[in-house]
Amino acid sequence: MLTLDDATFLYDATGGIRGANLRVSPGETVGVVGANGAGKSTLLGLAAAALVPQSGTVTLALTDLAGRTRKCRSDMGIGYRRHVGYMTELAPVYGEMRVEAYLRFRTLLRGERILRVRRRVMEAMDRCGLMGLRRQTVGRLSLGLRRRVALAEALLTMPSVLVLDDPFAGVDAMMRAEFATVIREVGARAHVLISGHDPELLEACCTRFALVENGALTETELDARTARERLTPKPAEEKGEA
Amino acid sequence: MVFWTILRREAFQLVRSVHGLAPLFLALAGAGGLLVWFLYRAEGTATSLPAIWGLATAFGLPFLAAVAASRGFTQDREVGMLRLMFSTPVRARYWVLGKVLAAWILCMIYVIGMGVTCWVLTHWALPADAQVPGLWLGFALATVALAAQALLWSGMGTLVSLFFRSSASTFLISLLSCLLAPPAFCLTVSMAFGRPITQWPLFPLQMSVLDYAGGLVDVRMLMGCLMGAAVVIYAAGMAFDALRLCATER
Repeated sequence: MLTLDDATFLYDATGGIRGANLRVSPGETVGVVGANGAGKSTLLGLAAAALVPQSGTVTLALTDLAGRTRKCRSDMGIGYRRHVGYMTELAPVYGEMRVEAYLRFRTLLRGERILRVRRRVMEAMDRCGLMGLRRQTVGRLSLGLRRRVALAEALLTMPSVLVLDDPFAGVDAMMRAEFATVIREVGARAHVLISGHDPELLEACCTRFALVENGALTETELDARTARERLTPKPAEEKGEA
Repeated sequence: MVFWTILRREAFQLVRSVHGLAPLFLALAGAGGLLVWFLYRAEGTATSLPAIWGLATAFGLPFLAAVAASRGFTQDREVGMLRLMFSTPVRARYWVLGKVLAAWILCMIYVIGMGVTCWVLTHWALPADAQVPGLWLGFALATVALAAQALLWSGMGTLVSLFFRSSASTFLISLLSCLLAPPAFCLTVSMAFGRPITQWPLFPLQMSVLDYAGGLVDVRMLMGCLMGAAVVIYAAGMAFDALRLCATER
């Protein structure tokens, strides 16, 4: 179980996220939606341990085959980060490296055993359709293909927590469907958080939606239709009546 | 394993790219010119060749180290890699050490390159009957002094690269730090212990290479550089963790 308990991270008086409470069970895929600058990326940054909460905690409780539960906190050591696969909004990659070399580099950084590295890289490339591009230099790929490399990187060690920040941005419909299939496959075992602006795009892979408004997580149990309604701007007369 | 992975990637990225090679050849050209000038100036004197070589090499070193190290974290910040680095299960000290040692390796390639330049000059460019005093021990000791200084400059450049968003400002700040920090330190010591400031040269570390080349090992300089490098690298590790807490990479 991934738990964000009153997690707060503020950049200044306006930016960031305040008092976020969210629980994600294994096998659940939560779509985090909201307007630009609402605090989605900050929330995902907290879940990915890229940011340390200024107050509150982010905890991952994992149960092994013997039934023992082990808890890791995102602000203590690197234990939590071993279980995280993270694709950031910009999908940054080292442009001078080849696809396979880059993924091998990232797998080694995740602390994977040397004998398993090749298998992990091959699995991730196969899953994301990168086998034909393995010898290509990452910097020469199109934006969509670079995002595919970033997704493969997030999936490298089959993480327990998969955090994808706006994975469908700049991606065509066909690739989006492929991404959704991959996320569903991995999401069957992991705690998945995906952010985006349009619930319709995320609907194919999300089990529920959380809504971020003005730096606060206001809803966590929405379906796609309700989330879309909440995000659609209301006409002026309705606002006046309200 | 993680540390070696980072070091290998950083070193290859520096040695293979124009960002590392162009400054390396510029530094070699500049210091080579300085070496030739020093050789002409030293004609008819008893100045040893390791001393001339060490001094010429020492003046190019801060420039190269500042360029090489200033790209460290600034480049990661520019491409948005910093946030991904924060969520990777790698300790801050490995990131910092990897970048510092990669810049240090480039500096040592420069030192070796200057050694080759010096060898070529003395064997082919000088007249056959020219008297060139010097000892291999002088070269070895001067190289040790240069290696310690390169580590300090690389650490300083890497630390500075954590705080700035553009490579140009990082380079300028780290170069100024490399050039001004030792005289400033000497000035502070002079003021604290009441020693006259005229006792210190303007470039104390560069000048100390002359002593090393002459076989006069000044342990204070060596320990000062190594301890300074350790402090700077530790501070860079702390600053990396602090960035994760403050998220100033946004």
